[in-house]
Amino acid sequence: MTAASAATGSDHPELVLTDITAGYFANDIVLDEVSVRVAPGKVTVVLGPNGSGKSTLLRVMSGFVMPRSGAVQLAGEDITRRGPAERLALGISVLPQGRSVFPELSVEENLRLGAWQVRRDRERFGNAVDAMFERYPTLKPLRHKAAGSLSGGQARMVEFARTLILEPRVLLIDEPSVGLAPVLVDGVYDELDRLKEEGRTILLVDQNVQAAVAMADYVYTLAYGRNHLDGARDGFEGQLDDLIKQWLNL
Amino acid sequence: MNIDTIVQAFANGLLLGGVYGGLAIGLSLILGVLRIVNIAHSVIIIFAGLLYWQLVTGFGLDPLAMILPVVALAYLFGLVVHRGMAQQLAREDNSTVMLAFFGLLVVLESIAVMIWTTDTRTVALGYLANVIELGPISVPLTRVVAALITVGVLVGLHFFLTRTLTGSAIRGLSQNPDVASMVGIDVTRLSRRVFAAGIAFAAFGGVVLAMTQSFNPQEHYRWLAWAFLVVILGGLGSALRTLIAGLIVGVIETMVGIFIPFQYTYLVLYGILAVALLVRSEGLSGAKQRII
Amino acid sequence: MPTDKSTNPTPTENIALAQAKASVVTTRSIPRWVFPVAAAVIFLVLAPMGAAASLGIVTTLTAILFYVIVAQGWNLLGGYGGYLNFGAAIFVGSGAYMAAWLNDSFDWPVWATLIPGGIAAVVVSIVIGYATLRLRSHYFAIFTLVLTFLALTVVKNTPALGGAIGLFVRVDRGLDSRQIGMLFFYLMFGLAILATVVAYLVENSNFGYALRAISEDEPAAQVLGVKTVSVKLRALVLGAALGGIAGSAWAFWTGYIEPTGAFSVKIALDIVLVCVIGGLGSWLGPLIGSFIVVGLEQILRVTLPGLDLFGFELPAETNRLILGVILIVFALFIRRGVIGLLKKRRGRAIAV
Ligand SMILES: Nc1ncnc2c1ncn2[C@@H]1O[C@H](COP(=O)(O)OP(=O)(O)O)[C@@H](O)[C@H]1O
Ligand SMILES: [Mg+2]
Repeated sequence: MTAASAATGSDHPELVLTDITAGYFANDIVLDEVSVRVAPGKVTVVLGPNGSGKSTLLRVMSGFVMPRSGAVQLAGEDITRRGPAERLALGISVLPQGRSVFPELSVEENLRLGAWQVRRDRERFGNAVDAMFERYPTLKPLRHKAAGSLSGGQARMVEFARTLILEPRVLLIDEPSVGLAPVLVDGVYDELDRLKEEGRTILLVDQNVQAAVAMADYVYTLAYGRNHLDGARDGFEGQLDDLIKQWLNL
Repeated sequence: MNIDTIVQAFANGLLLGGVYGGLAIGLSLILGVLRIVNIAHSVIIIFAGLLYWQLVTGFGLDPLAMILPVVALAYLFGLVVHRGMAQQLAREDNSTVMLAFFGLLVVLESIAVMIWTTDTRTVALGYLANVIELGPISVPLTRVVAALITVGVLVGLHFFLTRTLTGSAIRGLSQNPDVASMVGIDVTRLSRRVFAAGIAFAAFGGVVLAMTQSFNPQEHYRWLAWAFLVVILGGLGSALRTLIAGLIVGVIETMVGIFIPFQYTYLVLYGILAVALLVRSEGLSGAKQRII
Repeated sequence: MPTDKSTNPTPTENIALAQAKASVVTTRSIPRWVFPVAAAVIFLVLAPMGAAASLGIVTTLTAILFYVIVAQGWNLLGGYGGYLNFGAAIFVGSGAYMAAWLNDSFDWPVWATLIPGGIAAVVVSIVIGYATLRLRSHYFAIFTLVLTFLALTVVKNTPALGGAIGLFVRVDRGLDSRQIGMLFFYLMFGLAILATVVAYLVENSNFGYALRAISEDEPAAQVLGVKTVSVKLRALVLGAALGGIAGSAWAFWTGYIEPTGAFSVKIALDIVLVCVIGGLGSWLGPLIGSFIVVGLEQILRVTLPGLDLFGFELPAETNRLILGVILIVFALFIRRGVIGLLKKRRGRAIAV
């Protein structure tokens, strides 16, 4: 752990999960002693076959699933028992799997709700919304359209904007290219590249193994809810084919 | 049949319909945002009406000044019911929730009868009891006041839901509760306030009903049917559409009333309800359901 | 039995039915024979009561048996299918009014009116079913509740049915009150056994599994090929038939019916309570629930008027108030009723 990242309030804190065991009411143990470190200013990728617990891992990070045991730390501080709203306030923001806009609200309303936590700070609130329209100029002319009427690519941009609007310190992104037409997938990876270049701390879960590993700094794989492999990107690129074959056999 | 009769009936229908919009909005809000079928809705209406009767006729207090206390009390009651009952059932299936609300219906109806007996009540409205003459038609001032207040409240609610951030949050909550909590909205707290507001609106409906009609604590099912009809006609789309649906029901009722005896107007409205159910609701999947 | 169509399910429908069946089997932790034996014992103990017990007790037991019939019918769609009917009084009332009208206008005896009473309720149920069973369950629930009030209004305004005053229903005048008590006890007794057997057969048939599949996940059941609307309609109609038959017997038993009594939410509440307390979706539930609810009401009726609260005498409505509270408590905490306390879910006890 570097001294810089350990300091609370740092712009690039690290997020560390240690020996997390978690599950759902109907499905007791989905994650079994999983440990993951999201390094500051880096892109950490989590891979794994369907149902291996990747989304659940993200829910533990964002506070929607309380782990049965293990610890979650942000910049060295224990946040295991903090709820989702508190974690959002601490700077952990999540872009969930699948469509997550409010379909019958306008694009602008969707973004404004993204800034819900700072609503009392009028100035910051207004600036945050404006900043997102600056960042995603294609959304400007769509501001008053219902989000549900947008194309898949446009809706994804609304989701990115909503996730970024509070300038989060850690970004959790779950399968961002799933369900999009192939032409739009490139747009998503361009956006991810931009986020990486900006030096953000990112945890990316993806089924698109090649593309994800290409932008990763560090890679973890999960299998059956357990840590399987992990290592820096360079070590992984050679093994990709083997990995995918292995998953197909799982 | 002369034209004056029809104009008069139309005017009566609009005034009545304004009240019907008020009767339905609480049901619509709770169903639309929280997906809770509040079958105790009409008991709340009648309970509030009786309370209003007690304050105005019983204690001789001012009829306009007493609206707010009744509604505020209902809001507090709604907070309690959500905390103690609705919230506990948030993850349960529809039928369990309805059983609990049926229990609530029985409890409140019993209490109402214990306090106020089963007598039919009419609120004596003092200075509001005048009749306004407008050319060929004459309308009681109370009906005008009740309809105007209701229209004001529903239009106000419409702007609240569509123009404020909290309104967006409420609509967002109904469309996607998971994402609502993801952006940091305290879903439980917001739900509780929406629920309490729904109960308060039901009480408001009860007050405007009491201003305009005689009512009986055991016949509130009629008002449930009416509110339900308005919700089905107007959909769960918006406060404005609820208001319009209320006006339509009111006008139909008075127009039909010209041609057939009073007690059979029920049959016509129930017929419309059955047809509306068949034609307009979203079916099993709920795919077409529009939410506030 | 309305299982005809379900005897040849499609392959996907088989999956849905098997899943529902599996959920039944895994929730059973006491031996299979216990429930039928318990029911048999209850009926065997009851059998001599009509002749042996005092008239007061016979009357109470007859009321219990009446509830068993109606509640078994209600439980088919309400308990197994998850479609709550808050208008049980509509079916009971239709049967009662059909019987009373036939007796009043044509002097029909009680035996002859049972079938017409059942048919009247069936006709009403088909109308309700067609209007609401294509929709989600809460439409059905609200509709049944407000229809009770419509039925009340219609009957009140129909002179042939006695209007607001009601109708007298006369049993053969040669019988004394003891004999009449016995007559209706054994009539209800026979019908209660019939209703219980019907419920038992349904629970263990494809029809019953289809209802459970609907209750658990209706869209999924539909996708898998369960003809959900027809299954629900058949459950409603079968339940209505039982309610209507019970209603016609009830009209003769009480001797006088009037609209507010016949179409009251009180009957609906009692029936819902019987099933909820006994256990929704279990054929033994209504049998046990009827004893509990009627017993409870008797106790409340006897004890409450004696109590006083800070110098006020408790009004009669306290009775219903308490029943309403009990319903809320069961909905919140004891969802599967008394029977549910006996059956434990397996597969939930995985160590943490
Ligand atoms: N809300 C839930 N309730 C119960 N089980 C769940 C829930 N969400 C996911 N699961 C189960 O947890 C396991 C892991 O799911 P998930 O974390 O979504 O995996 P992944 O994202 O890797 O595909 C799966 O077996 C899935 O069925
Ligand atoms: Mg996933």
